[in-house]
Amino acid sequence: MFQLREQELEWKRIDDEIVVLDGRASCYLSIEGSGVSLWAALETGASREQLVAALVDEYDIEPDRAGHDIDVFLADLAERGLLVS
Amino acid sequence: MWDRVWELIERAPSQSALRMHKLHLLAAAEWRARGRPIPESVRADERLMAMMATAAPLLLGRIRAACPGRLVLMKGPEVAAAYPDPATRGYRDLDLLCDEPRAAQLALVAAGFVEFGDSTYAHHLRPLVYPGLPLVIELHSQGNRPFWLDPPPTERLIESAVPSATGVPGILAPAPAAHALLLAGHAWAHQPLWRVIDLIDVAVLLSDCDRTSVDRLACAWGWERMWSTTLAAIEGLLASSSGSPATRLWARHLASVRERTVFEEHLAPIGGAIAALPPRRVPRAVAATLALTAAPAPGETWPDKLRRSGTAVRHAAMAGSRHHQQLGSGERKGG
Repeated sequence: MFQLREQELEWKRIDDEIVVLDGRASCYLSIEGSGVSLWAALETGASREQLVAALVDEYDIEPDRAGHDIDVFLADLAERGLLVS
Repeated sequence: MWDRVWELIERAPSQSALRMHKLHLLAAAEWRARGRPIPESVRADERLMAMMATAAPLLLGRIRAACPGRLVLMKGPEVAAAYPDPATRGYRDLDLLCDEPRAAQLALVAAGFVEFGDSTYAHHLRPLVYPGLPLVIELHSQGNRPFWLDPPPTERLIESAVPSATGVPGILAPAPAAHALLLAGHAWAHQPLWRVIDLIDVAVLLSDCDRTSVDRLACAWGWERMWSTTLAAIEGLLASSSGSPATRLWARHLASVRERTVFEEHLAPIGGAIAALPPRRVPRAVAATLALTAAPAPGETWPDKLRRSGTAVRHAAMAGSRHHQQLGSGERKGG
């Protein structure tokens, strides 16, 4: 299960973009495209399979492609310390 | 009221006018709801506001953890929380009324906040920022208001404070009636009835208040005439299109959603004092205002002052910002 951490992480959505503040790093991020849907799912927690299913459903892409994009996205978030273990 | 706000937005002559009156985020929300394109510059403003809004709870938590005493959040995110969509009410600083502002300032510096700018502000200490985060923090010992109005009673304000709508534990806010009055005082502080958003702020908070209690508080503070003039301006601008004496005379820029001209910038402080004070206090306030206007700015010589005054006369009909730009002073009243 993957989930966004709760402490010192704030975000606001504007249309098809999410502006994120990582308070620990005093760093702002912008999430766009398919990342917006993934971010919303990660707020409450989701498994890799659920995330793949959500992308396949929304963008009508192959599961392998969705899985690859999700792995890249999750790795980036994990490297930034934005996910809980 | 919001239909009337939309009419005003439609009337604005330019995006810069909307921005000056802090209506640009409200405009963006309306344009979006009506399927109209949003200019990229306004999208950038929305993005910037999102950065401010995400920083606010974080910073308030850090401020609360570092500072002694009670902290009362005025304006900014506290007002935004009262809007139907908080994202439409922009802000760029956190104004906190403190039991012990100087002790709080030292505590924040010790906690990593950094002072910047000069220390000549009358109503708050030297501004602070937390490195990497965009909001400015200003610690106040009293609410802002024009110099000719008595300050509101800080201790009573703090005693009657309520939990902040931001939800940050330990951060308070003025009681709604007091906050509506504080916002009215702020609407007069830099230039009397300067921006449309200032009147919308008061109207928004007033919608959640017992009007009688605000009127009583205004009397208790000695602000009754300023308050009644503010209410008339709100009524004239946001409830009808007939205007009020203020909005038909020295605050006529509001209904046109434009900047004041140089002439209007000079007229407004005098018109404001006359409109907002009991008759017995008007002569002294007007005299003090004229003295401030006539004197050179700090560090300015009399020849420079006279040259600047001559330019102001020639630019009487010019928009204030353009005049100041041409003067090259870069100094603007208000924030």
